[in-house]
Amino acid sequence: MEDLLVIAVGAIFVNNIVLYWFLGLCPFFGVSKKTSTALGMGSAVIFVMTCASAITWPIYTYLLIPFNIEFMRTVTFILVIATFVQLIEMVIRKYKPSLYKALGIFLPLITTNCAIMGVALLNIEKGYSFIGSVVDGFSAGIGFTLALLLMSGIRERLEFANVPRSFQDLPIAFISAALLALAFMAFSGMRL
Amino acid sequence: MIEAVVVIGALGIVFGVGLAYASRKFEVHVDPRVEKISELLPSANCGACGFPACRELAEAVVEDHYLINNCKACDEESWLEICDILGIELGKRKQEIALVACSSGSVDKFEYEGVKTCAAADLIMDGFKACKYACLGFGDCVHACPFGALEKRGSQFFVDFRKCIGCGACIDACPRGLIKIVDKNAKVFVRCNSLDKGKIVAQICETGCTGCKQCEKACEKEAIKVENNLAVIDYELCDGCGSCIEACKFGTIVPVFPSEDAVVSDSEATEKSGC
Repeated sequence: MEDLLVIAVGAIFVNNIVLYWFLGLCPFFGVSKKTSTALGMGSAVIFVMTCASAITWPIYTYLLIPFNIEFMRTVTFILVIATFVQLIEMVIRKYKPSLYKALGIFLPLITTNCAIMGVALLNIEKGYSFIGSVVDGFSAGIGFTLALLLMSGIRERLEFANVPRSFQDLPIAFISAALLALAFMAFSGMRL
Repeated sequence: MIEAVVVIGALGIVFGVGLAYASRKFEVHVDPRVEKISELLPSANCGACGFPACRELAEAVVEDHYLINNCKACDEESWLEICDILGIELGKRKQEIALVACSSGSVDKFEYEGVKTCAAADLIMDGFKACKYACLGFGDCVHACPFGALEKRGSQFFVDFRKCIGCGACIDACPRGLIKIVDKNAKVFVRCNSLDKGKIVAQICETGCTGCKQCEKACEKEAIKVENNLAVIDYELCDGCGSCIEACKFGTIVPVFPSEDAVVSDSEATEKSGC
């Protein structure tokens, strides 16, 4: 139980998927303009990450290891995640059209979101158990959502700030993100 | 080696079949007309129709056919084709354009050094122009136009008739409310929006409307009325004879050249249009 807590806190704060690993930056800047869409995207990523971790772990352990083809894990995970996101897209489109509209292009983009892939590969690298992987995937999703929410809060305020013309919109967002990442660096001093 | 091919191949087949099955099971029925109509719409996403994007108008139009009237950006051909798809008959479209009702002839009352937008300049003492109706000239309208139809030349703004579709995006951008949407076939235009008394206008602006009523007398169709010290043209009655242009001593009333007459080069045509 304690192990899982350590994994969770580690994935959310210390090794935040966006601000520590610098993965999933495309949606991080793309959907962080409004808090509402950030929340939608965040929950989609939490869901996909948890499920992707849960699916990739058994496939790796029970399919790739017995056949001695661990080196194929990247290709396999791409296949698994792409299929899975497609499936989720279909389900959301059918049952939650409003969410589907709100997420727009970013739902299919989760397919190519390196954060999902990164979490799946990191799980294997760190040698987590099945439960550990799922918790890590879920927490990484929470960490992603947290970063997205923080960023959207900042950017909503930046809308009203008097920003020099050449820094307007994306450049100032990059600078804010860098400062945010710097702040998160403080968590790496935590001993877990 | 062979295991890798077999395992990945098998996974691919399983996932492929699974997805194919799921796509059947979770199929969402979309009206095929929506796709066709949204292709015909200009994709400018100008928002003049009241929907944030052209695609959303396409979705709404399938439900309520006459909403297509709201689209001002699409050309005649696609318009007719859309009507065809929807199976409705709509007569000729009314086409409109935006014109800027100020000749920028007013003198300055003080020097303005603030933020270079009309919206900001308008907040300080009714603007820096002596005329409180005058164009402030920072071009908020130019930035607002999704079609790039507005252009600043010297101190005046010109509307390119081939680009302007009368969507009205510039109207909201102008803090002075100077931009008027008029019929595309309009021949003359009062390039002033001042409701000040004639004496004041004459003192601060060379080309402002003083409300002298010379145009009213010159117009045989009685299409011009002076209301609140400003000449107003009723385009329903106006036949474009141009006698008001000659009658106006201040050059406030100017001719409008619609796009069909624009045989001259681009720049000249817009220059001549005067608005």
